[in-house]
Amino acid sequence: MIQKKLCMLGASGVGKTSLVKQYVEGIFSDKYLTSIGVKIDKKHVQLDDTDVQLMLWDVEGIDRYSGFNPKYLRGAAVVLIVVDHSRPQSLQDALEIAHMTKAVKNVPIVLVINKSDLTPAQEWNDLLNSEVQLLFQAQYQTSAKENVGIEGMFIDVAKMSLHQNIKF
Amino acid sequence: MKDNNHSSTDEAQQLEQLRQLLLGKNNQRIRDIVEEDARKVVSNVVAEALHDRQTADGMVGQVLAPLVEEAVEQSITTRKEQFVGYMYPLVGRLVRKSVSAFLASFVEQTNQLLENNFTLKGIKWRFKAWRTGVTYSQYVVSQTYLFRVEQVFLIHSDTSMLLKTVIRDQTQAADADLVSAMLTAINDFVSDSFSKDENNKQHLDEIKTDNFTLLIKQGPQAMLVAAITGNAPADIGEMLQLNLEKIHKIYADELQNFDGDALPFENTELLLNKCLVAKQIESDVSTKKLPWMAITLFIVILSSVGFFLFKQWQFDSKIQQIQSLDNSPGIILLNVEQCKNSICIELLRDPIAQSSISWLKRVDFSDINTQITEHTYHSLDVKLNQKRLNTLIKKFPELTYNETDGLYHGKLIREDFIKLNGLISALSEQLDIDKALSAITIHEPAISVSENKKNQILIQQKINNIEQASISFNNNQSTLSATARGELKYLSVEIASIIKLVDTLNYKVKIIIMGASDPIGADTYNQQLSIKRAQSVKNELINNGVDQNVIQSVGLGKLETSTDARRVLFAVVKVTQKKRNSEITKKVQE
Repeated sequence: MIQKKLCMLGASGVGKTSLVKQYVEGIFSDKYLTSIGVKIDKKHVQLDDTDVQLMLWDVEGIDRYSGFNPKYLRGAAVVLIVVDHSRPQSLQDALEIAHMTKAVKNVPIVLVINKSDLTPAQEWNDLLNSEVQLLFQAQYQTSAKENVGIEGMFIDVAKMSLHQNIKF
Repeated sequence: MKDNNHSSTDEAQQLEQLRQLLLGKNNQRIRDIVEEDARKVVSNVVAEALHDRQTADGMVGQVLAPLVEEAVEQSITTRKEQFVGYMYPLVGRLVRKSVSAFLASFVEQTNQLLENNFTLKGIKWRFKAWRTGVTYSQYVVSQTYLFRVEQVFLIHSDTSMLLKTVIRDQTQAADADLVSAMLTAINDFVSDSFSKDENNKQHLDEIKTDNFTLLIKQGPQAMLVAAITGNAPADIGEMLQLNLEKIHKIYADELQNFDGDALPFENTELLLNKCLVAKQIESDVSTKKLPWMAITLFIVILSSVGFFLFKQWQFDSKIQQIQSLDNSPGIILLNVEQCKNSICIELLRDPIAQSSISWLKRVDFSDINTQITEHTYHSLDVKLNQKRLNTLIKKFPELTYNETDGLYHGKLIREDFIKLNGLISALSEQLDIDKALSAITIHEPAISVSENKKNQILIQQKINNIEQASISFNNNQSTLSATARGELKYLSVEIASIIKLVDTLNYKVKIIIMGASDPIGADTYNQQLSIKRAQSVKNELINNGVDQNVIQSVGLGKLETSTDARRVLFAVVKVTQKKRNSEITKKVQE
């Protein structure tokens, strides 16, 4: 069995915890999140002939005033930055976080556009410019509320983590 | 062209010469230097090198296995006797050790079971464990061990992923993967919160609760975490550190190239298991040395079996003793057996025979209960017949009984002789009555007795005369006629002679004069008339010289017979001298 660490980053209220909750039945309660700034869950995924255990590090919401503990990125195979489809600001934050991440660690970053059940903000498509394409290795549309696209996104990410023959 | 060739050959030769000068012939100098240190160099890396090659392609095992097999085979073939000699004590000891280990563990398990379940301590612990909300086994560990390493985690530092964990009690297993990740996160959190200096890395070393310690040892690639209950001693940290260093040394490459696959670290189990140390509380250890609970149980079982067997033996021997008792005359043993906690004896016994208790006296029943059931019967035993005859002499003080000849001796009057004869025949049909009585002398009663009897007969005759007499009166009269006076004169003489005779026999008589009347007339008048008639007779008798204390007059009133009711009758009453006034024993007429 292979274990892979995934880090969930993103602005406050974009639905990182909801995504993880939807994906796995949380074992540790939310109080860890508020006290330490990270909540950890795990999930088994069967990929063809490989058994992968994903360790999901759900890092506390990040905004422009507070950074995040870069140590939490240590050993991560893939970083997932979550944004809110209805809040353009969250995408701005995501770009900032992606830059911060790149500065600390050379790791694949994927963009998870959550709350796809809501109507997208008007300027949303304008924001998805070339910078976004450059920073993020992949983009996914999900809805934690309606459980859309989550399973497939995590399987894709798991595959990606396997093929990243990175040195920690 | 030729020159060129020539010069290049020269150069090669010169180089060769130079090489020989510097390195010696056939590089001998380098070889010497390498060989000089070869032992040291190889010994430094041989273990690691073997491990590396073995993990790489498993060749070390493949190469060594046939060599070792061959060497052992050769050794055994050439030195068979020695090998048998070596193995013999080893096998014997192995068997002994295995048996004694089994017994020891059996006793220990029994003892633990008893201690945990049936002792006051066990019950108390169960209650406390329930109250504090931990499982019983956890509570026992906390009470029994000074400290105990419950689980050891080997965690990859960078990824915070679990490489390997070993756990003592599988039932208490936490999710080791999540624990590892959280531990790293907490470590990072603490490190960031309390140290602003990026270069000065802070690490958690120990996390402590009331009775639980997480001891964390950091290495460059991995960390070793021990979850310890109780008070961990200082040297345990050192032990963890040493093991972590060993792991780093052996698994350096695997740690460096870790990509999430923990399989290469399976073999660290041996090293991690060494970290699962524990120390029992001293006092508990000392008590554990002697499995006293099990010993007590065995002693109790042994002693109760012994006691039961002893009781059984006691019963059997008593029963045997009773059965071998001599048959006493008049006692027949029917049955003797053990019933519950006592011995039941059933026997036939002649009432004249000795009591069953005295018969059984020869057997000591001080510590055993007995139940005796007796059925009475009539024994024909000769000895008992003699005993029966002997009992009769109490009724005849004149006689003695000689048991040797079985005869009565003494004198008896005929009347008593006949009585004795009747009693003996009532005792038993088997007795030879004539023989038993053959030595008795019969004699007649004394003459004085017959004199008395004669007087008694005389008195009786005179009493009859008096009682048959009656004095008649005329109608409504109480005065005496001339005939009546004549008759009374005769009666006076008779009374006087009776009194005289009675005196010699030590008793007295009283003459009752009973007046009566016919039924004609009023009852009260007739009563008065009857009294007057009796009084007249009494007065006449007194006049004739009869002692007035001897005679008494009463009025009977009317008599139902009309014809000869007008008269006076007589009755004579015998009075014993001593109780003259209190007891009238007998009417002489009887």
